[in-house]
Amino acid sequence: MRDNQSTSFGQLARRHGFLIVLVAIFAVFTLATDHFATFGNFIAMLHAMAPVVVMSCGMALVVLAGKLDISIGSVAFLSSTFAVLLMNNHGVPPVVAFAVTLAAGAALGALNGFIVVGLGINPLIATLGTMIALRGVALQLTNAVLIPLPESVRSLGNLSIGPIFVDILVAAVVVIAADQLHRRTVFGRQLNAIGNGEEVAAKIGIPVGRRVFVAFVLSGLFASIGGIMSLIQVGSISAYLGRGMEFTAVAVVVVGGISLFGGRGTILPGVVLGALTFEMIANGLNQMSANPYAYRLVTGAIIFVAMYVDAMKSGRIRSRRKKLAVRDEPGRSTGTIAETTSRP
Amino acid sequence: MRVLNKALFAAGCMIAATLPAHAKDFTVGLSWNAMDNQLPVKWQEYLQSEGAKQGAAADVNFKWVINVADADPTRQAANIEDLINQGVDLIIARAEDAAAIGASIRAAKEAGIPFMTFDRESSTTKPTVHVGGDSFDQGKTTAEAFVALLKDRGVTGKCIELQGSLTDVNAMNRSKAWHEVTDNSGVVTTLVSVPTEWNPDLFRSGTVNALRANPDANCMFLASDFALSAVQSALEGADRWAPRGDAKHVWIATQDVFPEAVTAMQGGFIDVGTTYDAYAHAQEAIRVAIELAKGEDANCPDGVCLAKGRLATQENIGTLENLWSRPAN
Amino acid sequence: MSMDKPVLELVDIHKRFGSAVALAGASLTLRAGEAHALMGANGAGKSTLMNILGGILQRSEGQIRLGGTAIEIASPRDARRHGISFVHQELNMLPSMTVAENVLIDELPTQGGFVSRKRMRERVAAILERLGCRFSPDDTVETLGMGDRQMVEVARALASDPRILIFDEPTSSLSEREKRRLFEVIGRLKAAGTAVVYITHFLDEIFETCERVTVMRNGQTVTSGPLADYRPHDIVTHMLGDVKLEERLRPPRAPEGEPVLEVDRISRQGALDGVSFRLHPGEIVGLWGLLGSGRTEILRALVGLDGLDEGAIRLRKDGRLQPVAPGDLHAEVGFVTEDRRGEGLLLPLPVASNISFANFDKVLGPLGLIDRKRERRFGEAFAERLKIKLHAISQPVRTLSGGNQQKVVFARWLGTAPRLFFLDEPTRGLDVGAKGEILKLTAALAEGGASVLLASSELEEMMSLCDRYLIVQRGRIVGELPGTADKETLMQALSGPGTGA
Repeated sequence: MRDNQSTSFGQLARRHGFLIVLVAIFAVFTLATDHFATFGNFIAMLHAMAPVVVMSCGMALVVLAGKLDISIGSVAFLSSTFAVLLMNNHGVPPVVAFAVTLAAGAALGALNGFIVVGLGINPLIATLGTMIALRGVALQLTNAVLIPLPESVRSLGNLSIGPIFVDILVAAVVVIAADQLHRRTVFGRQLNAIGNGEEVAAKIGIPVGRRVFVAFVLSGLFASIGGIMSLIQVGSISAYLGRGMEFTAVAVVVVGGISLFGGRGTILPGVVLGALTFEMIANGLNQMSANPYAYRLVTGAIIFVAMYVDAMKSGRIRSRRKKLAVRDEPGRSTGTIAETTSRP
Repeated sequence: MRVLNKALFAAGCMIAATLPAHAKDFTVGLSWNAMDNQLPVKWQEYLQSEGAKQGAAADVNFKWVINVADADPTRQAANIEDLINQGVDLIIARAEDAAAIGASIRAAKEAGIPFMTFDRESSTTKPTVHVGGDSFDQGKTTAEAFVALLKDRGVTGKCIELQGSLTDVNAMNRSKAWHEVTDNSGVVTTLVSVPTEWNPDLFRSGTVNALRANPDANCMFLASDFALSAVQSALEGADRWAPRGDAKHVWIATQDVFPEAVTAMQGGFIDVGTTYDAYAHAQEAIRVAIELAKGEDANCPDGVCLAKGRLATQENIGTLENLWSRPAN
Repeated sequence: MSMDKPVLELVDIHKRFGSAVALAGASLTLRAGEAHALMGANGAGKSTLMNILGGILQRSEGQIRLGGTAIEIASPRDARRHGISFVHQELNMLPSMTVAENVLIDELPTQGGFVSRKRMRERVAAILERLGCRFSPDDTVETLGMGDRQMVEVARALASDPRILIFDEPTSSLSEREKRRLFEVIGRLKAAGTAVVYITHFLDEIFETCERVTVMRNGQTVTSGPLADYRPHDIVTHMLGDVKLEERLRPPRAPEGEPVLEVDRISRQGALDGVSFRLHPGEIVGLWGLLGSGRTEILRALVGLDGLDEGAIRLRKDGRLQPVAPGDLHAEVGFVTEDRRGEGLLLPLPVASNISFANFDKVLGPLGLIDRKRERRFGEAFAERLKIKLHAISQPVRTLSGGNQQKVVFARWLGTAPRLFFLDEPTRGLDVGAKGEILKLTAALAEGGASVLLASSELEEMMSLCDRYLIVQRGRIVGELPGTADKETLMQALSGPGTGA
């Protein structure tokens, strides 16, 4: 029943369609602008996409388990808000303040996990609720006002080792760790199994609830790391921090080939390629001085295509299964025993 | 959160406003598009304090009903609808969308409620009156001073323009004034205009990308400096954040002069800017509101009353009077 | 290894749920290297007994002895520790993951916190080798066929090195070739000394693979012994026990009048093979066959739920038989099955809305909108006629008992006054009283001139109603018996030629 080795163009496109798109985008911008395909610009893109990559890792773990966490932008905003307020108003040292941010991120993730697992509420609805509520709390705390970071912290945003920004290294470490967690640990394999089918996973004996809970905690934690990175890059906290990030992360994950149906896809290279796709479009259009709304149009189109491919992949597998079942039927066993009963 | 905010504000304002006994009650519905930086906060503060001060003198007892639309034009329309239904005496609104606010103005007109657009003008429907900063003049004074400065220093400016939101009339006025003055100046040219949607993240990435695409750029025009930290971060990353006199200095013309810009100007990083005088705006708005409350002519030509900003430079930034954004010390 | 010494004994197991008795003295003795067939009709207690063995349920009384010592099985984990493993009927597969991961998912081997892919692959490769599988541990399950997936399930059961392996209807989704392979594997397991319990509905399979048989009925073990001592017919008789003959609800009658429906050699690949019969007005015809014989498939094909490859259906219209498409026939037929929700009962909605669902034309008001009052009256009329027990016609269907829900289904169809009724296990899951009422209702339908096609697993139910029987085997109609046929004849028809062995 295995795929044979024939590689028609259609198959090639289906299997590597995403890479083809990536190369095409790269080619277009390289031709259309002077400075797109330069080392410096490549580093700049990696720098800009670092927070997205980190947050998408958390999203990816949740999505692999067949769930969704659309609160990560708000978690990033609120948990960073704590750090900013502690540093600015209470003179707390940055290291301690950011530790609080990470703890807050994990705690808010645990809140999501509790609502989803403990209260049994649909993840989309649960995290939609926390997305709105947590952003509200953060806006209240900051008076919705842009607050600049202390100078000493702000300068960290451009910290680099050689030509490589530290953000990029952090993102690399996080993405590799998340990928190893998913691919190589029992926890990761179990998450993947849950994404394959929660009922089946439960029957096999996987503690579904506990694993999903942990996935949400990690998602919150990664969101707060991404929040810190974004905060330091911009140098100030504002109502824009993390806004729309949840949808960007979902888009990154889906374009990176991780199925929203769960249990399918890998963090490496998926998340990095997904994030790179969107960053290239933003960066390239920016350099072309294109209409800013063009970005949304192009991005929307790419997300649509990615979703369609995802659905098609799953659909294709399903239809093949069906065919199998039908073909097997003629050979069905002969002579059945009566299911007749005499019940009292 | 919005509801809570509303309730808190409304409750607070009502308590404050019930104190004077015999004055005529005048309820103002105040619709903010968003509370996304210090400006609206200051505006609101000044509007309320001026309302109390000028109101007491003119025997008008201001009451405030305030809501915030979180940068959503649809929500703002609904908020204003609420104000109309409550039967307020005057609506003051800072539009999120210059075009979309027109529908709300028409709705208020039908309900017989006067409508004051504040800070941001409507591009579609004329309100009863518009009060705001003269954003065209703001851009113009900055641009003229900038051109003069560069000419004086013998520098040919190749600028990156960071535009505001394309739906914000003030942002567009500033951009228009900038181009009108600089395009034919022979001294300053604009290499690229980057729209930011007022998002600090885009201030940063826009600057980074524009510098990448135009390595020869040596000056910038900021449609507002509220997100200066993001621009600073981007310039630092490119090793271009340096005070005047340093070879790496990027010449910066800015608008609004927020607190960070005051510091940056004092440090020599920003060259010229024009203030956006929250206090003057509020003062003017309350003056006009009192005239409307009394049924008198507010004396606004073409229904527009504008308060001009003041030019700030590295030389005068420490001494400009009544500058809300300069830390008192 | 001695073939006589039992590996596992379940002795006189009782299980009560509250006042309901599920097991009342069930016993099972397993020997190493033997396959043991466990037979019994639905509700006989097989699954309860196996759940006790698997640690999912706890027995009320009785003893479990493993190798002669009494043991407790408190949890599925316990069962596993005692070397008891299950291959379930439904496949618990993780399609996007590899075979190795699927097999070892609940005990992935780790090294330094990371899953050791090397050890995982080695272990699974060894198990697959034992099973004679040719796919690799690294294949993803979704690329495998059904038979291979079944093997993955078996491999998972074998991963814990069980001494006792229970197969629960393992062949229901397998092709003939895949079934052969499974039997080979069972042979190998037996040779290696594993005790196998084999649960199935297919008589021929047990004669092929098993050495011993235990038959259960009504929560008790009724017979047990070497399979060589039994004929297929004996097993059927043990399973069914004495069928208590109920009074007929109406005397059988010969077909009369012009046929209403003529089914002409309908076929569907793999399910139906040239099925032909006629249905006359006012008669009740029983489709008598085994589970999986094709009786449900015939009904489904007639109303277009499954496609047809060949054949024609003709319906009497304007005095003559005219060809009709299965989909169109559906509109003419009252179709009632055991799956009340599947048949479109909208559980959260009121009884009245459910009844009017197929009868909107009768409850419309002047503006073409549904007239609530008419809808209520319409519903109430049927509720009364069918004696549906309810507090109010506005009560949600969900709150009714199963029998009354089934009556609502009938009421919906009665409103359209169809000439044909197809009933597939219409009383399954209902209590005795409700069952009787549904049967009486069926008789009344026929008295009113409707033609009824009835498929049921319950012999006494069939015998109390049917005017004649069509014997269904492997998608074909192999014979016809008159309504006067006795129990013995009918049972003989089931275990008759074609049953294998």
